[in-house]
Amino acid sequence: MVSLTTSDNEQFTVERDVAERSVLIKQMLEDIGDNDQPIPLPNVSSNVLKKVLEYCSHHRSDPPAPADDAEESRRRTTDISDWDAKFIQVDQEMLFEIILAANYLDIKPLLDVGCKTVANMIKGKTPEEIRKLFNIQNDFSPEEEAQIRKENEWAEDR
Amino acid sequence: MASTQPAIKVEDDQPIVFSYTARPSQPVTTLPQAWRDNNLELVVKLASEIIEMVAGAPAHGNVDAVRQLSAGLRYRFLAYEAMGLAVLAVADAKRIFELTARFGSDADVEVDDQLLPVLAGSDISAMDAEMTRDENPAMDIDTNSAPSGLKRSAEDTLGGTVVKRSKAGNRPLLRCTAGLTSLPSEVIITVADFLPASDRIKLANTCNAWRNGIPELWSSLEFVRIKNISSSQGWLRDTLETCISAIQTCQRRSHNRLSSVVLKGFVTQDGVSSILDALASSKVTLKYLAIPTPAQQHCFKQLYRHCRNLAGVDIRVQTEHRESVSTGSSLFDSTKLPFKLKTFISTQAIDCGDIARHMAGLEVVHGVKFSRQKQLSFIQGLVDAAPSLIEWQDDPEDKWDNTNVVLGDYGAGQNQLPTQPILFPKLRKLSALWAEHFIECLFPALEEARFNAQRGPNSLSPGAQNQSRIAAVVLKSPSLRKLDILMPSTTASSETRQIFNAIATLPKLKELGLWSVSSNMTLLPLVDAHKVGADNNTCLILPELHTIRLCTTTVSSTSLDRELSELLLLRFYLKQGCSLGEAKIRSEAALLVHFSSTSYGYGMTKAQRKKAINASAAEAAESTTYKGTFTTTSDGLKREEFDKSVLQNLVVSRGMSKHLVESSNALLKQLIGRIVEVDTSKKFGSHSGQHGYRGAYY
Repeated sequence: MVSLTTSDNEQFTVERDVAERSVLIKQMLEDIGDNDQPIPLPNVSSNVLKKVLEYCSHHRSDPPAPADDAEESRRRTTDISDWDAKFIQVDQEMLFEIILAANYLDIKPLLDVGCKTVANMIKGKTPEEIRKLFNIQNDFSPEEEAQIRKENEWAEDR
Repeated sequence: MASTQPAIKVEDDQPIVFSYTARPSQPVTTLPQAWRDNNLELVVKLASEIIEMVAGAPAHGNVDAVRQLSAGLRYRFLAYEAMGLAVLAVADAKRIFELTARFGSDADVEVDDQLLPVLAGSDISAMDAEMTRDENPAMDIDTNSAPSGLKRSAEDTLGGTVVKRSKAGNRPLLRCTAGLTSLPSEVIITVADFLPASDRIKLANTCNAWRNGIPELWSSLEFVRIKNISSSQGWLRDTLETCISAIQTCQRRSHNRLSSVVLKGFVTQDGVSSILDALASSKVTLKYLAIPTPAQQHCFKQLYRHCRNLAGVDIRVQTEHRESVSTGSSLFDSTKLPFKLKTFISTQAIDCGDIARHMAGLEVVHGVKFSRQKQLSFIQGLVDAAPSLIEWQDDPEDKWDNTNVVLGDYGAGQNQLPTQPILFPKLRKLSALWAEHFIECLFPALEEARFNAQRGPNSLSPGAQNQSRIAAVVLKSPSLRKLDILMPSTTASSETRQIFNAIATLPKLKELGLWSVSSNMTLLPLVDAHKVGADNNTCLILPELHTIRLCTTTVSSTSLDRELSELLLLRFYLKQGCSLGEAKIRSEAALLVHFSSTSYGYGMTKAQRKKAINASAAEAAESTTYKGTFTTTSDGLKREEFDKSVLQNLVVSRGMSKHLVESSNALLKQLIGRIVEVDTSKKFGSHSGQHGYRGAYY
């Protein structure tokens, strides 16, 4: 069993193979050896870690992702498995928190699920729609706006 | 470093205007750049200059300058920290804390767009992540006394943004939702990697930080012009110019690191040179190229052979007129490719050239002309490609064709074929002439396949003429999830039965598509496969099946409705946990009650029917596993109703569903979640109408 402490000082105890879906934790465990010390995760809060661990325990027995294998073809698909799709049905804030946690904890498949979800939200939208969706400030000057329009004229008429 | 001196202008009642950006033409090391270069001394020097310059800002209450000060202090703190100068780092950390406490979010530089010139593209958040990960002692010093100060801002670089409040003084800052803009750029790039090229560019154009700070967002280009071109004329001059200017834009914004360029349309040999010229400066990073010209040899000589990282080539051309581009040169005319080709996309309409010698390492292959699959060297090519192959599709439009192969096509005898089965350990998607006519293959990972059983039995092994080639391939593909088969035209043949028996062994099959060009499509062998086994057996074959596609060229009233009903009834009862014996009896009764006497149970008297139906209903009431719901019809029959569907989707060719649902007395409607009609006529290609034609691509 492995103990994890979150940024808000909550402690989680999980089985080792679940925790080791995180490459960061796996490496930490290898570094510190057999030691019952809880592992501090100062960048992950308890409600996010709970979600992340839910993912890890569902995927605990997944085969390790092939390292170099078919990087390209993996990239091309934005399909998400049924379970993962349901899992990632969260509000935007939680979605980004999960992505950040997956990035920090180095859980590649979870990072991919999160990023695919964001990609699917973005697909087919104009920059203005993307800004609206994610509450992004348009910080271009009118000159830049004009340049962007000019640069991308070719993309508009097909 | 004179050129990096910030200019400060003080005017009455005007805030200090602080401009730190040097003109792009000047070769200047900026603070973030120095930080990225890990030139710590320079970071300290530059940061100190800023700090000195705006040290008086807090006294003036100038918010913009406070931000600059805060940014400078942050960088210097990071640099001191990295240099191991803990005392100095702590001193700066305290100053940052004081600023944050006094000016609130206004001093929290991480959220400040105005500071983008200073912070643009810096990896400050990634750096912070590193530091926090290392349990940096200096970072923890003030946290007890300052819960809303330094610690918070360190945390916020990783996570959310800080809500902007008025000059909030000591009030604690609210941590607001983590926003897309708060994600580090490597995550934004991962998101972009799942986006088509046009969406990547739209994402880049949403805000300054991404447009100017993440050149990777500009590394893919897709340019489409298909209208108004014929294959003799190709793109006109202004289209070519627009295309080149698009290439140049992406090239400039990605810093000459274009990686994927997909052009759709048609370019003649005369036009293509200028495109190749434009792409030359990205030659080291180019990985995927789709240049729609028949002059592929020309492309190879001028560009491809300099692109050592090139891994994918698409040679298709698109015109409004469906002329085939038969004349052209092939990139495979060269003796050896100076790059590792993994993806190759073509169509049957184009001769890709002699690909066989270059097949080792291929992963994704589309549209290799059938005539090229009939050469003896192709067999060796396949053996070379087998370890790496992931996807092979003859015609990506999923059309059925009539091409045939006989051993003579290879100019080979039986003894020239490989003696061992060829193992394809990674192949996941398959639709290939060679697979249907080839020597023994093993497909342990195959998930999605289309097979054409119309091409006849095993033509390459004269000794095995009675064995269905398709059945053999299905049996070697235990991971299949989605399978489409064009069934043999004579349904009574033993080949049909062999194929269904092979399908019944698939443990993971989710979608089954049965295609037919004859009017008598049948599911009977599959129904029979469900009935195999002892009566007390409760296991269900094809346990994951959720979609069935039935597609034919000719819609006719066969017994398909009853066969499908029986199939689904058996599956329904088995799924409820009934034994096979019980499932058979109750399915029989349900068919008797739902179908008219002329279409099912022919030859039984009315009394016999009633007896059989009601006996089954009485038995069901005693059932320990599934009792079911019964209604009594006007003529006193106990009819079982089904409130749960056992098949999620039924997809049929246009015109079929009406017949299926009506004749089954709505029984199928109860058992099927969704019935969809699709136009499949185009998929049959040369088969449409009467069959027996030779395919166009022979």
